[in-house]
Amino acid sequence: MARMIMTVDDSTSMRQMVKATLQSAGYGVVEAADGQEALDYARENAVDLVITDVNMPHMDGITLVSELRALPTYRLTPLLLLTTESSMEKKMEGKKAGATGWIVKPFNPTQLLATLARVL
Amino acid sequence: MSELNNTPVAALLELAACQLEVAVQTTEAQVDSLASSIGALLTLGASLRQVNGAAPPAPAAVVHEIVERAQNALVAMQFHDQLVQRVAHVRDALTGLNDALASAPAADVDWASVLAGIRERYSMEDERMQFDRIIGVDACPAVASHDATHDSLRGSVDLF
Repeated sequence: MARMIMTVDDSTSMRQMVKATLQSAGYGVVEAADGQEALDYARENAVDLVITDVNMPHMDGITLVSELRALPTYRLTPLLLLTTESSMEKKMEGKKAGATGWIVKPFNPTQLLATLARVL
Repeated sequence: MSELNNTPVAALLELAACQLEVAVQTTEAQVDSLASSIGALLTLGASLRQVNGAAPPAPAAVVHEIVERAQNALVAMQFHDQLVQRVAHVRDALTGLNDALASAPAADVDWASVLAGIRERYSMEDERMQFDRIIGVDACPAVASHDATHDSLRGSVDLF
């Protein structure tokens, strides 16, 4: 059964890019347009990995990571932040919230897939 | 009431903000279509790799080139996302400036709060660094004030 990954970003084109990359490697993909939508989905469904943007309306990515880590089913799930943010301060915020890793946009498809293979 | 009310400054600020909004909105549908096409190319390349071996087989070099070009296009497409963010920040700054000038005489505006609010919305470190460099200096900002060092951080991956 294909691994299921949730991609979270308020940009439709970004979600399309991530989804196309993941699907080309055989992953199943679900999308969410912001942190709250992702959290609502996660409360009812388990996925194998989450890739989320940081700056989003309703709930930002770092808060999402923190909320997911509080769910028993997501305690050990790899949670990656994919963002334009590159400051060390923000990265440390993400790490403290429980993120598995931090990727600065634009992502390279080959590199993203290699990263997923490492953390899954 | 702002002493600028009888000048076109407020109207020009509002116009600039609206023009930026229109620029983003009119390209959004086209960019979504482009993103979809690039995604389809990537999927096609992956499919060709999987079925290669069936007759007539696609030359491996052709398949490789399709995948490579699709990946390059995918990376390039992501800069549109950054463009949208940068334009939105400019639009919000102009709107904030217009609101501030409409609410009080320029000398009475809490400029520290207005500027802090503008900076707080930035989502890229080079935006903040450019803001810090330019705000407060008299010289007209140059393109060279863009911080090229943060360009090298784009695409980086850190696993904690």
